[in-house]
Amino acid sequence: METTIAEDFDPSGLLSAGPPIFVRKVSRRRHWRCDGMTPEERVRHAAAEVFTNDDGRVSVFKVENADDFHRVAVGLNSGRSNLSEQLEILGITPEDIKASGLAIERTRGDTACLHANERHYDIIHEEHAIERLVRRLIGNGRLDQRYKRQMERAAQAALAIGCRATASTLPSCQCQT
Amino acid sequence: MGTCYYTDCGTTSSAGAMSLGDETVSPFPSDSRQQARDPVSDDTGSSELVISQFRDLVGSFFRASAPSKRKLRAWVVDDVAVGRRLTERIECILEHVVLSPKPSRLDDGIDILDKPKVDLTTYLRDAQYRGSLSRKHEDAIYVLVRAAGRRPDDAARFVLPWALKSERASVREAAAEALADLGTEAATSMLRQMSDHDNSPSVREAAQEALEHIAEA
Repeated sequence: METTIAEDFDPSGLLSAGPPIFVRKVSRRRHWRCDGMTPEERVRHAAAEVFTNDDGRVSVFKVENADDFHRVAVGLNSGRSNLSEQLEILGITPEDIKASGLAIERTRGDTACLHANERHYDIIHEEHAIERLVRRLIGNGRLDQRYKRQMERAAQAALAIGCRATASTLPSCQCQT
Repeated sequence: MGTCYYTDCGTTSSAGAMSLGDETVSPFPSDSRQQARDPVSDDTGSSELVISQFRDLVGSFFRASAPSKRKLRAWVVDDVAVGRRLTERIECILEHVVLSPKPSRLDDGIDILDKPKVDLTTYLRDAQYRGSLSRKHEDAIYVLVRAAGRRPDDAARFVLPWALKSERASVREAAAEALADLGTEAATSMLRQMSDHDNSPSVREAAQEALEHIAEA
């Protein structure tokens, strides 16, 4: 059955908690699920591969609704050859971050989507706190979600609103009006 | 591959730096800007300097913001296509795939190596001859296998049979995703085999998902 963007990118489909949630791009499913490891090996592996220390920061986006989410998804793909490429996403709640003792601050994102950039945050990387976060997420059975066919629709929607992720020469997009 | 929703639209300024929408970028230090932006060929200048410039360019690409990435990727692809030290250049890209802290690092590698201008077939044939594939980091293998599966040439022939027989589940998972990109009847048949008989649950799951992807396409 055909689904809508609102259904495809409903943030509550990512995890059982309601919005807002933070989303983090996962390079590859195996980086998060990493089978064949002891629980502690998995925590260290996932912390190193998914929450990589990028100059002391870990980039995440805050999404409140399906509109935010599909635009963040397009923004995350805006550096790729094709906007509709498969995307792997991990959801994190504000409580997960707080309970792990991590600090978070709002910064400007560097995607081609202005809407997504406004919703960008940096988690301040602290090794032990990151491991506490990963341990908590794994303990809660948190899984990454793969967005594949949904990205085709998200890309079409971005094109329809003149999102700058689809072409940087567009004079303006809905986000600037 | 699906419809392309991406329109590249950078314009070259006289200094060789690129104007990309509202930002201007150059992957080179300001004093070497005049050397850009003909592809960095080994025919000009010292070979080591050329490779060192290529390293700078690849580093800039992996660190770049999304709008800058589009043009930088085209430059990297051009340089790999023109340069003589193919293996060294591809190894340099794979190094960044493994070491970059960006979550886009694997996608960035795939988006360079899947371009037909990059002679991945020769690289993979040599790597297979030297037996060096199995010594590579699993993320580097993932990128090579996925890129090969997306190309219109026969690069996949030099890596997929090896990947499917690999003892490492992570490599067989990559092979399953590459087979989904190939989407042929032979690929579907191999995926069915994997989905039914592979001894790793994660590989069986990847094969099942790949089959669903082919069915939806």
